[in-house]
Amino acid sequence: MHPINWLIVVGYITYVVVDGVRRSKGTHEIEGYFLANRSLPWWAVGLSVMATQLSAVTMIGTTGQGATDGMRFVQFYFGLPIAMVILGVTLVPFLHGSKVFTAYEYLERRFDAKTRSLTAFLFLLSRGMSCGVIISAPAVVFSAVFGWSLPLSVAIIGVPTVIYTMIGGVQAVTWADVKQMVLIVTALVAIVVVLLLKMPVGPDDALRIAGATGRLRVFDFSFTLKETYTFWSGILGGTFLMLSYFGTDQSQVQRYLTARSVNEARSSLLMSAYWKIPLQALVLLVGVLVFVYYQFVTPPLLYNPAQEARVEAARPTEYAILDDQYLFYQRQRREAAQRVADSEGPAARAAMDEFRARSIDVEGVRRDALAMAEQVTGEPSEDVNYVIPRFVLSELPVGLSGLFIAGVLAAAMSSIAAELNSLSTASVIDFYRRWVKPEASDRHFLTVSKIATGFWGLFACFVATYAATLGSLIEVVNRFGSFFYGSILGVFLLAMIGRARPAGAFFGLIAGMGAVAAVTFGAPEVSFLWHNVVGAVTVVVVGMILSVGSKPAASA
Amino acid sequence: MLRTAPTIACARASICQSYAVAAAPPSPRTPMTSDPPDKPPVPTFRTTLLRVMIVQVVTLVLLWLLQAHYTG
Repeated sequence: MHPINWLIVVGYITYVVVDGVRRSKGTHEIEGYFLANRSLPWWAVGLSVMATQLSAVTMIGTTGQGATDGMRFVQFYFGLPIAMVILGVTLVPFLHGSKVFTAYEYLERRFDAKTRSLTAFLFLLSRGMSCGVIISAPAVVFSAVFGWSLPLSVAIIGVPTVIYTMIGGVQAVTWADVKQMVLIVTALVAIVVVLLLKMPVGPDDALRIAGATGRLRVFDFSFTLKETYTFWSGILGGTFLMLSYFGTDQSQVQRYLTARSVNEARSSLLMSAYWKIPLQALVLLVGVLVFVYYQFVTPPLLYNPAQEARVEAARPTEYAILDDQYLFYQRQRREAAQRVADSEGPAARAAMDEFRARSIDVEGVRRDALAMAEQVTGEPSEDVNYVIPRFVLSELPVGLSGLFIAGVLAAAMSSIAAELNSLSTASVIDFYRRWVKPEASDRHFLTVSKIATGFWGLFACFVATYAATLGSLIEVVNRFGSFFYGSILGVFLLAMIGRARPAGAFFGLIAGMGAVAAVTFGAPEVSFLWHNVVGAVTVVVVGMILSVGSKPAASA
Repeated sequence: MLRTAPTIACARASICQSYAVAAAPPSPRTPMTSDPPDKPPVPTFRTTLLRVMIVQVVTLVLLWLLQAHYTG
């Protein structure tokens, strides 16, 4: 990469760390460290909520998904605005009004200590793992693209984040998130502009070419439990997932607990409701435009450079033959794409049919190359995460590629920082202060909180190094999260029902997880988005049945 | 200093009961905070909600038009 690009990346990381450390001044007590003394404006909290959800996987993987699969992934977020509105009138007033540090603390006030501890434990379990994967995903890509060792990639992403989160607390996390969101959106918009300028066809023709391969198909109204991305799974399963994520996951709850008032906390959540779908559509559109761009500029046969080098070294002749075929079909497809752009009416329809046929040829050769890579390396050869990094480094002008890499780092850091901060909060508030040392000075808790942040940072970096060797772990963690999310949401829904009792909540939670386990292992073809619905509904139904005749909570 | 309950209207008795729980005095170890002074006006929830719904409808219509126009 060009030195100017490195300068941008290093300058950005240094700025975030220095600014984070600067913001630690004035944070002398635990409420300031974890909740910024509930003093942050709604727009900063709202940007922080969005930055936390937008990870490096979004910048690399989702754009790559746009290039290979098109826009339909955006349906995943259709439930988000609905969830935000529901949370705005239900959980947000409860949690913000009760002046808790963690969402789980509220459960003890409403039910009992064991329900609180169990949900907090489930949060630490799932988030501790996923934090490692959030570091691992971009680290693996950086490692392959730049030739770094994996531990070095993990360290470059993880260490600065741990430093500013540990020292600066939630103030540093939130204000870094604000800058990171600005950087991310700037990088995405800049790439769209550059793509449109560099493309040999106009925007309308570019979209026609994308449409010919189905990449602009957004809506899928088929009602099937097996397909993850449909309109209905997005609206129903997605709503439950987002309700769980934004309503009960401490990494999100903690963001809006820092807001000045209930109204500002609601407004901060609604900012995500405003912008999430348009932003996600923009991210996918970047991928779609990269796909169109590669119709006119021949892309590499394998996008993962490390894998490409190993295959070339191990099977030079076979790979060269495949590469020749690829160049031949790619040239034919380029001519077909140009005809799509040049023709009108019935001729355009025929040109599109021809373009689709040539695309199938190209994809066939790519499949053969990926299969060869899998045989040679013994690793999964899915290279969707490398499409955009390769494009950025080889096609974008100097400065802009540095901006994009800084944007990927920003996305990774913002998500990791929020997770570390919330893991530390739950560890200290829900376990250390609750069970180990209930009475101590703020100074003591502050020190323990910083140590906890450092511990979780190290844990995440360790998991990241290990996770990189397990290709499908990202999906495992997503499924793992959905395993618990619905059930945890069910407990919070019970908390809002006056007749629910502690025994109902605790055993309902266990029943919910049991039901999700039964669906996960008994009907593995059911998409994981539906697990959230199953978990939440089971907890509420079982919880209410068990609450009949049970004693109310002692403290309620 | 006394805390005030959330100002949202209670539609059902059970919800009111839960608000009472939420607004109950905190445990002694929970630090007390003072409410901040008046800040610049924040849009009301209903106004923001209306805007959110408009943005969603416009976004979905645009995505639908994109699909209908370019996907044969």
